[in-house]
Amino acid sequence: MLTLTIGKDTRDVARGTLTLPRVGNWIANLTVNADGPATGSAVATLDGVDMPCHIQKAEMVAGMLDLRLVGGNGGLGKSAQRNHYKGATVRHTFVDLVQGAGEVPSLKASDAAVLNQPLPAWTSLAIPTGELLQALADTAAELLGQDVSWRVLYDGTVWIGAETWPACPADVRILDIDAANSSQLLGTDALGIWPGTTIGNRRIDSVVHQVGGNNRSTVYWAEAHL
Amino acid sequence: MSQDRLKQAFRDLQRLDPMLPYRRIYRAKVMAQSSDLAQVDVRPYDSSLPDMAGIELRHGVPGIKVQVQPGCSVQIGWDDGKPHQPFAALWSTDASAVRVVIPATSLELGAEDLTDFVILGTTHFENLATCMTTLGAALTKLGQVDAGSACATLVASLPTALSTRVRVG
Repeated sequence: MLTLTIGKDTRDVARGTLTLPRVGNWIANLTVNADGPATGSAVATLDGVDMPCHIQKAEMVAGMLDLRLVGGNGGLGKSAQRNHYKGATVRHTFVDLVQGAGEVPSLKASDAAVLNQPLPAWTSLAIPTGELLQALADTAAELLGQDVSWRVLYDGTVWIGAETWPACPADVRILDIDAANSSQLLGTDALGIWPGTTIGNRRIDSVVHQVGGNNRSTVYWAEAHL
Repeated sequence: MSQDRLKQAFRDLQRLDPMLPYRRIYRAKVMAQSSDLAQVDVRPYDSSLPDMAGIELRHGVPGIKVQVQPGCSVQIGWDDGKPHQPFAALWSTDASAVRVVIPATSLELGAEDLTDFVILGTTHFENLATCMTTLGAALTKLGQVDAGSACATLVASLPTALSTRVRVG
């Protein structure tokens, strides 16, 4: 069940997709029954899980409202504030980048080893904040000698760290396997199927929930090498 | 019109690499220099860049250190386009050096691979020339005109052989 709350109005989603990548921000392209365009913030609720988001684009099409939503407050696509650091840590730079974009860092959930990694220097130029977060993750990975990722969590906060690949808590039924694309179609409640978790020995790289039509489906893509 | 569309397409293509601004070099004004001469604080002329402190300074010659006058211009960039690896290099023509330190075990000025090295200061060279001149005059008085003339020739040749001026200390 996917609903969308804009202001005080909660609407069922007629159709659409919700894409949760392991790296970057999650997006949703949804169609709801509404009287007119909407702007600002919204909350997508997936099986009882609230997912704060920002309306990036809204358009009335054939009497229905087509929306493009991004997780958080929609600030990651905006240019970062220019800044230069000497002898800072990843935490300092990460917090400045995320807060400077009007987003909320997920400091408790983020990886302490990554956050505490000293940076010899860092220059933030006026390019999209999301790009700088990726560069920061790449830099931390280079300095730590391990993979480092970042993503917007379902609650709209921004996480950075090394993947721990916990087991997916959901009880999943695999309906179909596309070996060529390293993806599986699942029959389950979507709750708990998040990128960065593991189903069997397969690491979930991205999850796509499709709503509407005859069937609702959830497909996940595993890391290509597994 | 088609030309404009072509240019726009090229600009759009450039924007596919969001880290492109880190792959350029920019001109910046030197505001201060660290006491070990290895780093500078700069203010880029491009206002889209922040003031940058403690930037590694490179001169193109390994080990060399140069103290510069604040206010001169230098180029800044980032190694491999990485935001955590800024550097400053390439002085503009308005830059002047206050002090240059070259910590090399061997420093050759003038022609390459000469067997003689400049090891004496100006005073020593002048003393040597005076000595040879005196010796030549004495030999001439003693009737050794050829030898005296040879001394004079040698003295005359010294400035050419030791034409490089090096001041140490």
